[in-house]
Amino acid sequence: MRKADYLVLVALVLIAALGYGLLALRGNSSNKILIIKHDNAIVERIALKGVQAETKLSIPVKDGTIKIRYDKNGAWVESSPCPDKICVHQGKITKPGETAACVPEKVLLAIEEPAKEAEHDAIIK
Amino acid sequence: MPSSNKLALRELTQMGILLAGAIALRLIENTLSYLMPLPGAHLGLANCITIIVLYLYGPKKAFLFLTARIILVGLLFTGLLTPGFLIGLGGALLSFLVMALGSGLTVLSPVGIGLLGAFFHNVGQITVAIVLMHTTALLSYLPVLILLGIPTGFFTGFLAKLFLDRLRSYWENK
Repeated sequence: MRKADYLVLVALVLIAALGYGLLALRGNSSNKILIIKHDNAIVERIALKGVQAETKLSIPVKDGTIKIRYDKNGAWVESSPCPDKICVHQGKITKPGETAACVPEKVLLAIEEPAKEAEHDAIIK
Repeated sequence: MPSSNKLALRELTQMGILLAGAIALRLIENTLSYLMPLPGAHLGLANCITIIVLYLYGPKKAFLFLTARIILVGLLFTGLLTPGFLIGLGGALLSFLVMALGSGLTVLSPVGIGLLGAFFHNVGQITVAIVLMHTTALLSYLPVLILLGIPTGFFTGFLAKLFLDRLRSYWENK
C-alpha cells in the first residue's frame, strides 16, 4: 500500500462515519406518516399515530403481490415477488426519512413527517 | 505486420480468459450473496478483474472489457435494461471512470483503486436508484453501503495487486 491508499481509506471511513452521524441525528417523531408509492405515485398514505393494531396491506405489482405490514411505530415488507428481496431484508422502518424500497417492482415505503410532505410535487388521496 | 497481429491476438486471448473469469466470479458471488450482511451486496470480485485489466491493458481496452462484461452479465443474470441492470450499470460506469483516472496515478496502488472503485460503485448505484424511484430518501442506504465497501474494496484491490505482482514476476522469469 502506498501513502495515498491510506488517505483514501481514512477518507472513506470518515465519510461513512459522517453518514451514520447524520442518520442518527434524525430523531424519532410521534407524528409519523407512512407513504407507500408504486410506479412513483402514492398509493397509500397512513398516519401511523392512529393505527391501533398491526395491519396487513397488499399491493399488486408486475410479478405478483407485495405484502406490507405496519403498526403505530413503523412498517415493513413481509414478502415480495422480486428476485433479490432487499426490501424484505431492509426490515422495519420506524424513523422519519427511512425507506424500504423494492426497485424491481417500483414500490417504495417511506416514513415522513407532515411538514416534509409539502415538498412533494403531487399527493394523490 | 505479422508481429503486431500476433500481439493483438495474444491480448485478445488473455482478455477473453479474464472475461470468462470475471463472469464466473460474478456467478459465484451470486450464489454466495447470502453470506453478506446486507442482501444484494457483493464482494466485488468481478471488479478485481476490472482492476487487473486496467493495469495490464490501460483504460481504453479495459473499457471495452467492462462493456463486454456488463452486457454478458446482463444477458445471463439480471436481464438487459431491467432496473437491477441499470443500477448495476450506473455503479460500474462511475466506479470505472474513477478507477481509470486513479490507475494513472503512481501514488495509488491497486488497493486504493479497489477502495475508490467500491465507494463510487455504491454512489453510482444509489444515484441511478434515486432517479428510477424519484426519491432522495434512498440516500439513507449509503452509509451502510460505504462502510461495507471499505473491507470489500480493500479485499478486491489487494487480490488484484497480488495477481499483478505474481504475473509480473512470472513474465520476468520466463
